[in-house]
Amino acid sequence: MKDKQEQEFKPYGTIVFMTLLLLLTAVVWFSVYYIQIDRA
Amino acid sequence: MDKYELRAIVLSGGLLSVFFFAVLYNSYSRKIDMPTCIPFDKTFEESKVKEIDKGLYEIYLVARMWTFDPEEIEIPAGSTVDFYLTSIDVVHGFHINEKGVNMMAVPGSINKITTRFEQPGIYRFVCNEFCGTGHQNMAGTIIVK
Amino acid sequence: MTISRPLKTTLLLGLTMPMSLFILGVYNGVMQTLYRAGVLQQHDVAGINYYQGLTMHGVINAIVLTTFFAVIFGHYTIVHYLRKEPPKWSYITSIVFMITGSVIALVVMVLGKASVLYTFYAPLQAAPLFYIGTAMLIIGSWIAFAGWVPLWFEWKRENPLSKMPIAILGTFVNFTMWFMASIPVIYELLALLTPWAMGIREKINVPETRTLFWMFGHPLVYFWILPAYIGYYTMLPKIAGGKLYSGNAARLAFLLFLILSTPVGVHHQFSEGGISPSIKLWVSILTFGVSLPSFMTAFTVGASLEYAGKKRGAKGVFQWMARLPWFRKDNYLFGYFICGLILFIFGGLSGIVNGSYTLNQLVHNTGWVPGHFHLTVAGPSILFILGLTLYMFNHVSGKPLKHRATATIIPYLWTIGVAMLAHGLMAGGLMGEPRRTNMGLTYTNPESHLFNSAWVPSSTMTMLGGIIMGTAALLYFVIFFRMAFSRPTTTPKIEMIESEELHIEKPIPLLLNMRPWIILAIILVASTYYPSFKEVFKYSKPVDNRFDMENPANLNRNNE
Repeated sequence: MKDKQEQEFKPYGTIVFMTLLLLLTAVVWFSVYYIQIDRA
Repeated sequence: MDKYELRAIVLSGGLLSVFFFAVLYNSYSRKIDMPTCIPFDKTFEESKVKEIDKGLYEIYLVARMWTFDPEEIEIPAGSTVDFYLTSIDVVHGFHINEKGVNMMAVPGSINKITTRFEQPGIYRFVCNEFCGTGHQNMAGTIIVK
Repeated sequence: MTISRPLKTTLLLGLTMPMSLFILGVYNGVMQTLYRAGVLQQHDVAGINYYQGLTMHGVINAIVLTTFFAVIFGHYTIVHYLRKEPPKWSYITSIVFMITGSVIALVVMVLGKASVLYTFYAPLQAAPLFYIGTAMLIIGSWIAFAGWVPLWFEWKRENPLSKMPIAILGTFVNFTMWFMASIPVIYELLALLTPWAMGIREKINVPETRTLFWMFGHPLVYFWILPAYIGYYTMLPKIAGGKLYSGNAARLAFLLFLILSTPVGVHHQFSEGGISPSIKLWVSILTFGVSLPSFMTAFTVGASLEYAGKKRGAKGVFQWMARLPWFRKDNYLFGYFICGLILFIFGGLSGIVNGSYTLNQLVHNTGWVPGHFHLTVAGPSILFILGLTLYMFNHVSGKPLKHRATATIIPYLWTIGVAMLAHGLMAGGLMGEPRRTNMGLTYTNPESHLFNSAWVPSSTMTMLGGIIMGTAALLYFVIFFRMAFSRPTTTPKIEMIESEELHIEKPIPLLLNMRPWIILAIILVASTYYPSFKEVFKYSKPVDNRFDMENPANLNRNNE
């Protein structure tokens, strides 16, 4: 990659990955949360 | 700091705050709480089941190698129970999976939690902390009629 | 860089000895999955009791192997970046203490006199030598650290304009945190448990010992993962063919671990009575805080890998993931790194569940917990240990690593195994399956009145995963020991993969000075633990209990 392209690199793919990661976190966490509400 | 990185941190922090408030909401409105501190007293080392009022029970559970005292408990549906728990030997666990009640029985220490048994049924509980060679035999039931 | 003979011997011994013990650690791990699934319905096999095996598994894999690796990898990193060797007295004394301590603990465990699990909770007692051996291992690691510190100050004087290399910062953060955190456990081991086990001290305050242990026990897990993070930031970008997206972000992540890893120990005690809900709430907040540097790492490492993929011509949002050097035997390390990262996604998420205050009640001491930690310590930590052990041994001994194709596929096979193991454990845990339990005798034994059929599919899944992990480990032992027993073919040296940074970033002074962070760490630990101990002493009282795992009679009463 040329230097200019290097400086222009924007991690869009990583942003999508992080969003999916946070969504997965929320799904897992709230699943356990609802199990607790169900049982209490 | 790189703006994308900062965004990732802020979003993560935001999600964690949502979790935090969800947990607090459960604590205050649904009364799903942590075990409480009770100062140690030797009287807690004797097991008993006390009916304080209609549908209000105090169960003084004593864990020991390798059984719970009492091992089988019968209460009517709709009862609210205060569990007081201690151990007279080593550390044990007390887990009623179907209620999400999960406490450690620590010698020299008392643990308390309150829960309500709405639905009739058989609620099994197990010891979930290693306590010696008979650990896998240590279990009991709460029969809610 | 070439190294002296004594250092070379120390490094090779420090890699080989724990790897040999790991055979025993793996064996006991696989065996446990057989007991739990009800395939074995007995107390012991080949003279090793379930709980004895469980103790060996935990102590060898999670204390001996991990501590040795951190020290050896630390030596390797220090020598490579600072281009000088630590003083001979420091690394020799260190390895002698560590080996002696480990051997003592091992002998006691094998003799069945320390079946107390790696948390060694009182009042279940082990032979005093177990506590002493463990303490020696830890103190040995301090001595290694002590040898690096003067080296750093020397290097700084000679290179006044250079920044502390990120790998060095990671190493020093790790060991500063480790030193601070292991003081409470050394106190617990030597001042409380040893005299108590010897019968010199009658009474023991159990919550006090537990609080001291967990003051150590949580930072312990960061001690396990931080070497892998050093690898993710300083080695992986280059291995993948790219550059590190942000050096400043890497530094910030490490420094955040320094301040946040020790105060959170109480989150392992959420289910206990001696500490108040308000301290537990505070600790929950801190625990959420300590997950932030891991989210940062996911971003920074992700961006570095994306850059590597784009450099290889990937376009769009996902293609970069495919354009990475998977399955290349000339780049065998990549698999160890990437598989660790994938597993850590699930390990980290399940950890957040554990730390979420009341949510902990649903998972405490169930199978969920070992499910979680096999995705972390038996995920990125062990994979990093396995990969770097091959790499370091190969370079330091000059012996060839043959079977590179096998070395390449091992992490993937391991990952499939761990994923299945953890899935079974976590599903079983939510169904109430207890951890640390020989279920084959009762809960997964159809003949027992305690039989719980719901736990059979989950424990079976775990067993299948465990067998696959065992197979991967077996392949690893074959290639490692073949290398160890072969003849050197190249000059012994220390060489490390160093990634370049993508951008020239403005140096941030706060990130280049450890002192304010160390002070903040001490303040946070003191302000969380001072009230915690006050409560422990207020609500609990010491007991004159001392028990052997086989016998419900109090050993202290027998003396009357």
